[in-house]
Formats: sequence, C-alpha cells, structure tokens
Amino acid sequence: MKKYFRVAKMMLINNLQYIWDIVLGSIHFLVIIFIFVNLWQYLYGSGKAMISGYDISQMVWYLIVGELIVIGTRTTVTKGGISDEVKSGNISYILSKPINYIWYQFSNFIGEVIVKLMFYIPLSLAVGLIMIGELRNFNFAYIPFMIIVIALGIIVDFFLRVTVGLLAFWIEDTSPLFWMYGKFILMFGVFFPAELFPKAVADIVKVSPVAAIVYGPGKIVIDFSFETFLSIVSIQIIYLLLSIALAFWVYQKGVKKLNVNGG
Amino acid sequence: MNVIEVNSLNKQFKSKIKEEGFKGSMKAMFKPEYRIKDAVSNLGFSVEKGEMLAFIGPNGAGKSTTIKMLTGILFPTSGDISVLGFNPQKDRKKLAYRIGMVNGQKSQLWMHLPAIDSYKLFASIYDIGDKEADKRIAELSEVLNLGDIITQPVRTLSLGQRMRCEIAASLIHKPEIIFFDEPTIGLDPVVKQEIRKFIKDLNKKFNTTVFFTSHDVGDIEKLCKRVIIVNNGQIVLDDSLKNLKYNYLNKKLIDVKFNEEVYLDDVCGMEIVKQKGCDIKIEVNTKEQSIKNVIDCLPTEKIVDINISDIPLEEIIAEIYGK
Repeated sequence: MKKYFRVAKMMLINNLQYIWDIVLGSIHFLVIIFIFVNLWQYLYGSGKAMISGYDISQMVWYLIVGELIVIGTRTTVTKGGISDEVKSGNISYILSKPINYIWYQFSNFIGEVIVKLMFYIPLSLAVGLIMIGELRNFNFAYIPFMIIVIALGIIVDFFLRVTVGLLAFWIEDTSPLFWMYGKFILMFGVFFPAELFPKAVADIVKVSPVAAIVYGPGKIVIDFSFETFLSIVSIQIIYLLLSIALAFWVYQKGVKKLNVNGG
Repeated sequence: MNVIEVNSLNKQFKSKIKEEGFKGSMKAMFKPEYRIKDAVSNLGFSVEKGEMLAFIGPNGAGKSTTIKMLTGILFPTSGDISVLGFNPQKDRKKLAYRIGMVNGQKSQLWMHLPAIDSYKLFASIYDIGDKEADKRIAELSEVLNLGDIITQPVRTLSLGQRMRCEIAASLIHKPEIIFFDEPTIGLDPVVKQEIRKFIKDLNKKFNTTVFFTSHDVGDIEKLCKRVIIVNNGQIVLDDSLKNLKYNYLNKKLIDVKFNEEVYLDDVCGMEIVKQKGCDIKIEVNTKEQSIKNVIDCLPTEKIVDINISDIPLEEIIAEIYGK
C-alpha cells in the first residue's frame, strides 16, 4: 500500500507546480454556473416557486455539486491521460515496474484531485453563497454523509473514465468516446436533475451510472434523508464494483494487445 | 548459468493499410484492410549471468520489441521466454523487482520535480525502506557523479545530466539484469565515455547482466564481448565481437605515407581505397592475400610511415545489415 500512497503524494507535490493552471481552468466552471443561475432565475422568475420539486436554491446547489464532481475533478488521467500513454508508448516504463497499473493511475488521480478540490470546494461554496445564498434546510450534521456520497461519485466516474481510456488498446482515438461520456453525464446529471426529464427517462437516469456519479450526490446535498442516502450508497457501491471490475477486465484484455513501436 | 532464454519467439503487429488521399481514408473507414508485420520472427538465444550483450540492428529490426517482450511489457504472438526463471508475461511484477530498464528516448523521471523525488518514489515502488533508499541514492550519486543535480527539477537538466539521473533511477533496486535501449543517444563524447565506464564498472562489481541496444558502434566496442545482430526480426549473426571483427570480413586497412608520390596498381590483390599526394589507403582481403605479401609489393624504401588497422566495425555492421 505504501507505494500507492507515495505515488499519490508525488502527484500531489507535482500538481502544486500547476496551481495557476487550476485557477485559470476554473473559468469554465464559473461560466457554466453563471449561465445556469441566470437561466433558472429567468424560469423561476415567471412565477414558479418550484420546478419538478426543486426550488431555485436547490436547483443551483444541485448544479454546483454536479460541477464539483465532474468538472472540479478533471485530471490528467480522466481527461485521456491513459490513451496518451498507450499511444505514445510511455506506458512501457510503468509496466516495467512492480506496480498495478490501474491502482497506480488511481493513486495519480487521488494526488491530483486533492489539489484540485482544495481549490474547487471553497470556490464552489463561495460562488453558491454569493449567487444564490444558503441552501434551505441544510444541516451541517449531515456533512460526513454528503462527503461519502460525493467521494463515491467521484471514484465511480474515475473508473468509468479509466475504462474509456483503456479502449486505446484497440482504437486509435478515444477522444470521441470521452466527449460522448462527458456530455452524457453533463446533460443527464449535472445540468438538470432526473426529475426534469419525462418519467421514462428519469427512471432510467435514477438507476444509471449518472445516479451514482452526479444525481445521487446532488440529491443528498440539497435534500438529505437517511432513506435517500442508503438508496444512493447502494447504487454507488454496485456501480463502483462494476466499474472496477470492468476497468480491470478491459485492462487484462487490452494489455495483451499493446502495440508499442520503436524506442 | 543462463539468465535469459528465448526460443522460437514471434511477434506480429497488425496495422491498418490506408491508401493516400480522401478516397483512401473513406475506403479505410468502410472497408479496412490490415497488414500483418512480423516484428520478431523465430528468435532464439540465451544470455549468461554477468554477460554484456549487444543486441543491435537497423531501425525497425525488432530490438525494442524484443526488449519489451523480455520485460513483460509486450505479449509475444508465440514462443517461449524465460528471464531469471520467470515467464515475463505471467510474472511481470515479480520479474520487475529483479530487472531494470533504461530507455534513451523516453524518460521515467518526473520532469517538474527533482530526480531525488522520483528516486524515493521508485524506492517505494520496489518496497525499499526509507533508510536503505537514502543509502542507495547516496551510493548512486557518488558513482554517477550526480552531486547537486538530483535536487534540481529534471526539466532544467542537460541531456547528459538527465541520462545519468535516468540510469540511477533504473538501478535503485539493484537489478540483476539491466536492459539499456540506446542509452547514449544524443549525448556528447565525454558523457558517452562516462556512461560506458559506469556500465562497465557495474558489470564488473556486481556481475550485473547487461543487455544493450545501440546504434553507436563505440558503445558496442567498448562494452560488449558478444553481439547479436537482428534484421527484419530475425537473428542474422550471433557471435563474439572478436570473431565479428577479425573473421567475418577478413579485411584490413593499410595507411601508408611515402616520401614521394608513388603509383600503385592492384597487382598484389590490394584495393586502393584512397590516394592523396604521398598518402595511400589500401584495403586488403586477408583471405586472399597476406599482409606481408602486400607490404612486399610496396616500394618499401619510400615508406615513411605505415599503419595497419581493422575495417571500422561500423562498416562491418552496415554490410551485415545490408545483406
């Protein structure tokens, strides 16, 4: 285990060199919040107190939690770093060391994500409080439960993105797959809660990976109940196990296909 | 004792064929065609413990592919490999504790951090305790003359400094076999010499087996006693360097300086390679003609200086590649 902690620590130290990149990268984060806050203010301003069971404060905080999970945790690994390593052949050096490749990447991710969250969590709170104010009925006692659900959402997203990245063993360019995956999560999870979609779509979203990654954590933050917590954590654990198994299976199959030419 | 054994090793790569232009791209999209390339074909050899082996060949000959199969990175299409008694593909992690790899074209160090941070990370990866790691880093710093450079961000180092740091990184766990893949590429002669000396000392002191690929003939001449030449994925020569130099082509070069301009013909089976004023360079095939006979054919009373040398190894290797 020590080696994986060391990798995470190394990545953390390394990413402290890029703090200004993280600060500049947050512009995208802020622009999305700004657009959606204005959109929701316009829609709620037309006389509606609630839309699909959400008031404006809940709707904006849901978006902020979703953005924190999806945009605030974008790292080298989850942006397609694995594909780049496979294509460039740099994967060779990692494979020549006595370390599990997927857990190595997970440690890299943790190291990088800690630095990002150190910036994005205060930013999210500040933006939310400034633009929409406190969340109604928020109870600080539930924060540990919220952290568990948010962390599980981030980890499920990581393993699914790793699986997409590992497809580089078979296909030349995984960026269209990353694009589709990212847009699917944004459209059906981050921008709009499941209840805003027609019932048939909402029912699918609520049992899909989107529920484990974004919908569940968002729902827990804006409207906590132990019943919802248990149901979301159950879905998350199922998707966590499935996504880990899928990533390892794809890796085991794919590494045999590795094609590193030259050097 | 053999530490590496390779039998009937094959590796095929499948690559897409795309004709030129837009039409070619469309065709490749809807009706892709593939070409199977034999990167390594029926390779067989063994390496003894403590041996320094040059594994050379032209670009695309299959050298790096072979190294990657020996280290468990690539999976062979067929054939058997045993490295230190392990199957590299099945026991990649176990084998990794006992082998090292240096690649002149790729870096394993973290560019924005000092090399010492990478060393400590690698020490953890190889399950080396902190105290032992510090001791090992100090030893390597001394023998590779790393000094303060290990505390500077790697991106600020010169290529020579970086390569010395790369070598130290690969030796942190005292590997029994080390694979050098073009470690001196792009380095100046002084750094090359330092690295060669270090590798030689490493072999002598710890009996480390060295598996070496390089396009630099100087590396091979200075370091290796045995050479395997591969071309098109097949072994075309496996012999000692001595045999390669003295028996393979049986050619010598005689440089003669006369006290006046002389005119020679090839009556004694000699080939005049170059003549400039009083200086003549002669190539002799010793299978057909003895050196003594050639010298006897020369106007010895006019000779000021004479030098007999082997054909440069580079030319021998180039000729073998060309066959």
